[in-house]
Amino acid sequence: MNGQLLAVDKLSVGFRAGAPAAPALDDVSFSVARGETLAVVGESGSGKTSLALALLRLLPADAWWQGQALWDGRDLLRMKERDLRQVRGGKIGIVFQDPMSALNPFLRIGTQMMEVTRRHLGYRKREALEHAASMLAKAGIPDARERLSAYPREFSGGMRQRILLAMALSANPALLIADEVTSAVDGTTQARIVDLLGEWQAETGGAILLITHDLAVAARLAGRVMVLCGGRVMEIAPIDDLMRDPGCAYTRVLLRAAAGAFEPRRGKGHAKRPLPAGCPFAGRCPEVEARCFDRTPPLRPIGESHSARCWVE
Amino acid sequence: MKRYVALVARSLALLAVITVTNFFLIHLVPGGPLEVISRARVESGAAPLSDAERAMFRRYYGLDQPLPAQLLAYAGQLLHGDLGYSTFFRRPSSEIIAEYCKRTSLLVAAGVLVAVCTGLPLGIVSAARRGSLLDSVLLAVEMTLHAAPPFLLAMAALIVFAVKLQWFPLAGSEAIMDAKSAGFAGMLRHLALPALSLGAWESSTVYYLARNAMVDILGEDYIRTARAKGLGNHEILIRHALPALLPMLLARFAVLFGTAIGGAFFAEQVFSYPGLGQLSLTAFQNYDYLLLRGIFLVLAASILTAYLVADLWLIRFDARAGERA
Amino acid sequence: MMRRSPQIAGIALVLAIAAATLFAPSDPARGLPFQPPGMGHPLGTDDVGHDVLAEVQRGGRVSLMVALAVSLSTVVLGSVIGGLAGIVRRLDAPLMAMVDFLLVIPRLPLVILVSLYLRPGVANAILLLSLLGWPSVARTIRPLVRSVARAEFVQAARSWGAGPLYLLRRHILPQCRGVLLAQCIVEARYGVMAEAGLGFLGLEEPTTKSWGMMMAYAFGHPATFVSDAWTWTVVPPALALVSLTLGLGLIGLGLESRFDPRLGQSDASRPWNPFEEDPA
Repeated sequence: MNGQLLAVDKLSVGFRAGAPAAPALDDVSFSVARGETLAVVGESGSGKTSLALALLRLLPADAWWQGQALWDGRDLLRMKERDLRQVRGGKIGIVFQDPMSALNPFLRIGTQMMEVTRRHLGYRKREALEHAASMLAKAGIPDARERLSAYPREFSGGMRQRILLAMALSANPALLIADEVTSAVDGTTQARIVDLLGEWQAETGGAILLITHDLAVAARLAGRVMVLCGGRVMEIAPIDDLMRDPGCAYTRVLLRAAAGAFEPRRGKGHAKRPLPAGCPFAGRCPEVEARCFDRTPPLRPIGESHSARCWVE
Repeated sequence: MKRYVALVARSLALLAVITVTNFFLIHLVPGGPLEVISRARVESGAAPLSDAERAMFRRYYGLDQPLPAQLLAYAGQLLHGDLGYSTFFRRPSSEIIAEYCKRTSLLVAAGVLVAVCTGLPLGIVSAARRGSLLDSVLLAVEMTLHAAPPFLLAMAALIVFAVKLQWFPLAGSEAIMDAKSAGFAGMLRHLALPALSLGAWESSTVYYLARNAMVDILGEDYIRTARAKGLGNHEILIRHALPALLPMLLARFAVLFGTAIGGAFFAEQVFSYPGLGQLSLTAFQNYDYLLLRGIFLVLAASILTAYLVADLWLIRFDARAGERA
Repeated sequence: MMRRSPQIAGIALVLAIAAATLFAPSDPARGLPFQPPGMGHPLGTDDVGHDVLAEVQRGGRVSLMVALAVSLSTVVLGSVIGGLAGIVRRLDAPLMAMVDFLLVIPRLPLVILVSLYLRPGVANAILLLSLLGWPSVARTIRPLVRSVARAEFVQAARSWGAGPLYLLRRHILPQCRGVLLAQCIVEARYGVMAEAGLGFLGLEEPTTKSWGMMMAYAFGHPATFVSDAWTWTVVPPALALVSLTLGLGLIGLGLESRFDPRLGQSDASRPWNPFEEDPA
C-alpha cells in the first residue's frame, strides 16, 4: 500500500438507528494512487455515499465506523479534528449529489468560494476573488467576474453543480471525491461536467474517487472500478478487465443494464434488517445458485489486480 | 411588489376591523356602560347619576345618535388623534395614554432586549452542542422559566431583590412619575426589576425559537458543504448559520412583541410600574370605558404594526432565499 | 420505569391537589387578620382573617374546574374543526385560513384586553380561553386526521354514506387519542395559568376566590411586604399554582414525546420540544 495517495483498509460504517448486523459499509478496502481515477459503482443503498462521507468524517452524529483510511501516512478516521480540517477542502475536495441545497442561499457565491482559498492557500480577499473568478470561468460559467456577487438562487441546478465543483477544486486538492455529481443534472450538463473533471485531471494530475451508479460515466473517466452491493465490495478491477471479463454476476447484471438491455430489479435501499448470510445480491441475481444464499462468497483475486466476490464462475 | 401591496392592504383592513370592533366593545359591557357606572356609584355610597350627568355621558359615549353616525364620528375622531375623553382623569385620553405608553414601551423594549441577549446566545449554544450535558441543563432551565406563570417570576424577583435584599425599590409609582427629578439612574432602578423579570420569562421563547431554528439550519446541506471545505465550527456558526438564523428570527419578532405585551401587564402589576397595564386596570376599576377604548386601540394597533413589520421583513427575506421559504 | 417517572410524579401531584381541594371546609374559620401560622390556622390568616389553608383549598377547586373545562372545550372544538378540515376537502382551505389568522393573535393579551370589558366570572373566562385556544388544536390535529382518513376502514365507512361528523366521532378521532390527550394536558395547563393571571390582575369577579385573586389581595395590601405576612399570604397560593402547573407539565412531558403528531420522524432528527404550547 505504499506510494498510494489514499489507502482504505477494512472500513465499516453503520448507523445506530439501523440493525447492527447490516452496516452501510462492510469491510471495504481499496486504494487510490496519485493521479488515478477510481470509480465506485453501485445502486442506491449500496453504501457509496456513506463511503464518501466517512472518509472526511462528515457522517451524521449517530453513525459509527471502524477501519482505517490512510492519507499521506496518517489515518483520516483518527486524526484530530483540527488536522482533519486542513485536509478537508485543502487536500481532499468533495462534491455531493444535490446541487440545489449545497450552497448557502444567504451568501453570495463569491463569498462562499473565497473561503476555500483564504483558508487553505492563505490568499487575501482580492486574490481569492480573482482565483474564484478564474475557477468559475474554467467551469464554464459565463461572465464569471460579475457572477461572483450573485446568490445561488440565480443559477440553475447544472450551473450550481459546476460552481460546487469549481469550489471544491479551488485549493488544488490532490484528490477529488465526486459523489454522484452527474445524477441530478440533465444530459448535456452531465457531459460537460465529465469533461470538466477530465480537464482538471489533465491539468493538475489530481486523483478522483468517482462515485456513480452510471457505468457509462465511469467508463469515460475511470482507470479502475470498484463495485459495491449491500455495503460490500463485489468486484474491483481495471476498467477494461471489468468490462471484458466481469468476475461477478452482479457486475454482469450492471453491465447489461448499462448497455440498455434491462433494468436490474430494484433492490431494497439501506438494509434495515441484518442481511441474510450469503451474497448481498442473491435475491435478485439471474445466475443465482443455492450456495449463494448460504455462504457469503469471499473476495478472491481472479486476475492481475482483479478481485471478485462470486460463487458463479 | 404585488405582495407588499397585498400585505399593506390586508393590514389596513385589519386595522379597520379592529377599530370597528373597538367601537362596539363598549356595548359588550353587561348592562351598558351607563348602568354600570350608575350602579357603581350607588354601591360606593355616592348619589346615582343625575340627569345632567347622564346626558353628559350619553354625549361622550355617543349613545344619543344612530349607530352609523356614531361610528363615523368615532372614525373622524381617531383621524384627528382624538382618543376620547377619560371620565376618571378628566383629561383627554390621548394625553394620558401617551404618557403611560412611553413607560410601557420602555419596559417592553428593555424586556425584549434582555430576552434576546440571553435567549439567543443560549439557544445557539444549545443547538450547536445538541445532546450534551450543557444542552440538557439549558433546556431544563428554560423550560422551568417558561413553565412558570409570568407573574410568579416577577413576584419571586420582587421578593428576593426588593424585599429581602433591598437592592431595588418596592413600588415605583410616585418616584417614576417624576422621573425627571429622579434622573436617568432613578428611572433605571425602577425599570430594572420589571424589565429583568419580563426578559427572563420571554427569554425562554427566544431560546426555544433560536434553538430549534438553529438545529434545523445546522442540519442543512450547505452547512455540510461548509464543513467539507475545512471551515472550523466557529466560522461555520458565525459566517454560515447566523445569516440564515437572523432573518428567521426577525420574522418571528412579532410573536415576541405580542407576548411581551401580555407579560408586561403582569410585570407592571407586580412592581406597580405605571405603564399602560396599570392604566388599564385603573380604568377598569373606575369604569372609565372611554379610556379603556383608547388603550385597547393603541395596544391592538401596535401589535398589528409589529406583525406588519415582521411580514414585510418576511417578504424581503423570502426574496433573498429564493426557493427556500 | 425511569422513563415514566415524570408522568407518574405529575399525576401524583395533580391528584394530591385534587384531593386537597375535596377536603376544603365549607365554612372556614375566621380569625384575626394576618395571623401567622399557628394553632387553628396551619397557614395563618389573610388580610381579612380567612384561614389561608382553607382558601388555598377552595382556590384549587376553581383552578381544577378551569383546567378541566378549558381543556375539554378547546380540544373538542379544535378537533371537530380541524377534523372537518382534514376530511372535507372543500372546507380545508377556508377553515385553515381562519385558523392561521387566529393563530397569529397573541392569546394572553387579547384575553386580558377583552376581560377588561367583560369582567368575566369563571364561566366567561373559560369561554374566552377556549375561543382563543382551539385554533392550535385544529392545526395540530388536521394532518393526523388526513392520514387516518386514508385508512381502509374509513373508506369503507364512507362508501356506505357515513357523514364526516360520524366518521370523525366513531372512526378517526379515537385513533388520535394520544395526540388529543396531549393537547388536553397542554390546554389544561394554559387554562390554569391564564385564569390565575386574570385573577392576579383583578379581572375576575370579586366573589371568585381563586389563587390568583388571593395573591392579588395580598399584593394590594400595604402591610403584606412591610411585615413577614407575605410568607403565608403570598407563598402558599403561589406554591399551589406552581405545583399544579408543574404536575400538568410533567404529565404532558411524556405524552408529547410518545404521541408526536409529526409521525415518522426519528428521535435523532427532531429536536425535543417542551415548548409545544402557546408561549402566552
